[in-house]
Amino acid sequence: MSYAWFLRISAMRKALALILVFALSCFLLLPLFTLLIWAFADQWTFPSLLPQQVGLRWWQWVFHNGDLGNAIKLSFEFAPIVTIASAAICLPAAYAFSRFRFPLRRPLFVSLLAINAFPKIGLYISVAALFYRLNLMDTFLGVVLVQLINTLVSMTWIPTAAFNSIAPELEEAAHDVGARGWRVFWRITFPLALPGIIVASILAFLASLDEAQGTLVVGTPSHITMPVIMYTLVSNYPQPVGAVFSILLSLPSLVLLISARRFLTAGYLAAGFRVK
Amino acid sequence: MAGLTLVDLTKRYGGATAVSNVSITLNDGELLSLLGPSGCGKTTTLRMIGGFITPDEGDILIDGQSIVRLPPERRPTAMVFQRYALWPHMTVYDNIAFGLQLRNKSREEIRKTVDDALVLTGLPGKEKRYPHQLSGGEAQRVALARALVLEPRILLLDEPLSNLDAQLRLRMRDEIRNIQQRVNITTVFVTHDQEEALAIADRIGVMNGGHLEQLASPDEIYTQPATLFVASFIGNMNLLPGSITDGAVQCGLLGFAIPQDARLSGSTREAIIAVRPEELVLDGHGPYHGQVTQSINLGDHKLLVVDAGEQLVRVAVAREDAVPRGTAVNFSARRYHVYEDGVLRGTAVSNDTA
Amino acid sequence: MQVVAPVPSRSWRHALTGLLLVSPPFLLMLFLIVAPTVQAILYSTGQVPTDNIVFQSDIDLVSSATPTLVVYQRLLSSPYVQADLAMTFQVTIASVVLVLVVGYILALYVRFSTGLLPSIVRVLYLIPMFIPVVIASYGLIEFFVANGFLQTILAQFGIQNMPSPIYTPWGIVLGQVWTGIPFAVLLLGSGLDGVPQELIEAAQDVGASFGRILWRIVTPQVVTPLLIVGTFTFIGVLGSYTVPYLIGPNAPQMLGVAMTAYNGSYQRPQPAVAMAVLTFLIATVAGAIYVWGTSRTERTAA
Repeated sequence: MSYAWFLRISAMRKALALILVFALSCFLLLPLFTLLIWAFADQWTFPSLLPQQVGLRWWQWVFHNGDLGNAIKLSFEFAPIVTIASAAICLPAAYAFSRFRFPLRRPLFVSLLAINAFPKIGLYISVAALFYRLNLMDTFLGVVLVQLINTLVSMTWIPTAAFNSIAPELEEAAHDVGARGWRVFWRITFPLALPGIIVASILAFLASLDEAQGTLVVGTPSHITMPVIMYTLVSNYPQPVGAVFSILLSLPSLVLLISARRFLTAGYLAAGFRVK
Repeated sequence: MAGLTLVDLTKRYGGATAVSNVSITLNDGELLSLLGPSGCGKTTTLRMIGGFITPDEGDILIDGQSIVRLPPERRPTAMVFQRYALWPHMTVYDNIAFGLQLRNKSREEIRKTVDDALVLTGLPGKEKRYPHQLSGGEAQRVALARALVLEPRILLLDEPLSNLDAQLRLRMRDEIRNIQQRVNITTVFVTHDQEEALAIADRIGVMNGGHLEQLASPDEIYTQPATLFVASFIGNMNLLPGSITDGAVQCGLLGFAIPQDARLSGSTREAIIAVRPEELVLDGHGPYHGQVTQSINLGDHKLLVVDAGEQLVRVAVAREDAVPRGTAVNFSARRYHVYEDGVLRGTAVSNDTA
Repeated sequence: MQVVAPVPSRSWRHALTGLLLVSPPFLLMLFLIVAPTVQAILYSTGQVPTDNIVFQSDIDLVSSATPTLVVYQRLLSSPYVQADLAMTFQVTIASVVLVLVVGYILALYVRFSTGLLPSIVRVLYLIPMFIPVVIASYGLIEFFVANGFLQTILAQFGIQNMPSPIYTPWGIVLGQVWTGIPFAVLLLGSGLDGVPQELIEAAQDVGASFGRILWRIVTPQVVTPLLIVGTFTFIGVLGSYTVPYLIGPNAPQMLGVAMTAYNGSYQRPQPAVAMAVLTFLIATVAGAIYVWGTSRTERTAA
């Protein structure tokens, strides 16, 4: 197969493509790169291309600051709890969507998408209004609930696609050799759907870890997570503090991304976005 | 080893009947091939025996005991799926051993049983492989081994050869038959390939539209097709529609005498003569004549297409016979069948040209 | 192995189990989406529950036995809110257009080119998906801000006094494009994957130019994904807070920033909730356009 027609016109196209890709990389990467430099800059003033003084002073500062330490601790409490809660709520539903036939199956499945059709900040403000009445404002449970909102769709859709991709004969063959319901599920169905479930769990974990808006609205003042404290850092502290903290906050994403790249490239991500 | 009995098995989907009143009795160690076009109900029948589909009516008995209410995991049947259904996350060894582990056998016992099965199916040395590392033929063998280690009383095979290329298909076909006879296991083999069925089966059940058209030995299926469908489905057959007049069926210019023992219902004046190309012979004194319009070389023999006035008739001749297009020929029929209302009413065999 | 739809199970017990298993996410949806929305509509139309101090605390509370639009009238007649609304629309529409254009170009490039460069792009465009929006915004600020890294680089080439988009509406658009690229390219890419290669080859065969193939053959096949990306980007920008709060100007503000300020700093929950309901209404209109658009393309396709 050849896509040469796209490039055939002239070498100009190739040059153009090179320039565009370069511009794209600059646009996407340089802002992150800027933060990386700032994180190790003790002194950096315009118009010097590189910092005048390099050091780890601000890293020490960040690690010794109690508020920031608490935020890190809190973030890593929320993320696993939200991931597990989301999995407990959504995985049985994903299995049912894939393996059971019941009335309204298709409309229910699609209607989950309505969650993403809400302007988020408006939703959080409304949720906050409800939480005031239920005394859920600024509580651990309240923050978990508001963070769950962003995990429901991917935690249902991606595992459903994973369950769907398991040929029913594989389960039938297990029944045939004598395995019953739960055994078939744990020995055959679950391991085969695991890559999709892992991808969904990673996305839920990151969604919780990175969630700022809902947590800000529902969790202040005593539930300040890493991304929420960033709002303060950005405006009230010298650049290196925010930069160091940005790197700390991005590290989990990076680690998860690298350790799970095998699954992420296997098309599960795209499966979660396939709307038809 | 066991006998299998299907009693009036029926399955409907909505308004459509997928399988209708199928009754079959299978003896110990017998290999039955369910043969028919896609959608004829053969796979549905097989899946009902395996327990994956619940019949609406009828009963399934193994050694006289009804199993129709048991789920697949409690039936003494083992299935080889069309696409093998090997568990991709398990090695060959684990695929075969899974059913044994469920039965709480000791490690050594499992090891030995699996090893025996690997030898039986010609797979030694492959136990650590994963399914995606296997060729089609190997995957097929693993599926067979997985089914056989549980010592099922009935083996079910769902188009097991349809995913293999032509060469391998022949080899695996003979191998399956060989293993089946060595283990002496009662087997139901679903296929849409008549050649496969004729080669491998003790008996063939030809199915069409959910009905069992004929249940007989391969020989009988070929030489005495009970219905017009079987006659048209199995092998090459000239089907000549005609009308009944004075003890003969007149098909265009060709007249066929109705045999003495034929049992015509007489309800209509319509009948169909079925005659295989190899039962038509070129014969200078033959009663029929026509003109050769085409000669098709099939390797081991040739088929002549003969224009006999209102009918085109295919006549088989030997490979070395050269009959150019346009040649006028006379021919006669050694053996033909008379069908009325789609059912075989009589067979004529003439001795003079033997 | 080819995938076959699971065998349907007909028994009502199966149906009941299925419904039971799918109910948790929907109960949660009922609690976290439906209930807040209903309450927001009631509260903003003057139906104030008496059991809550925070609701009662609004300094300029509108309370009425029958539904009233007073809160909305006051809100929409305020010149500040009018300016906020206008900017919200401008930023949202500019972001949607840019995300669609950039996303479509990237998706086309990734789909129809081979070699090293597109495979780099394939990794590159996913990056924003794994960067928290707060960090992305901060990075964009430090890069594009006056005397930031970009101006530093440009200064090396003697280019100076370039205006910075940071703390202007264009900065918000920049941030929305940065964060919106992965979703747009993923979705448009999966749409383009569905365009049969034969269609394109057949068109090439009769001598159609690249532009013509793109416009007449490829684009009509991805109208639905384009509409989805457009709608969801629209709703996403409308409901965004972090990017406009950090990168945008102090006044006028985008609606998301304004309503958060009303809810928090100004202690005015009622107008805040009313603004939230306004964004819901705007999103509903966008959703309706999307549904109308997809049903229209499906009709013309049929």
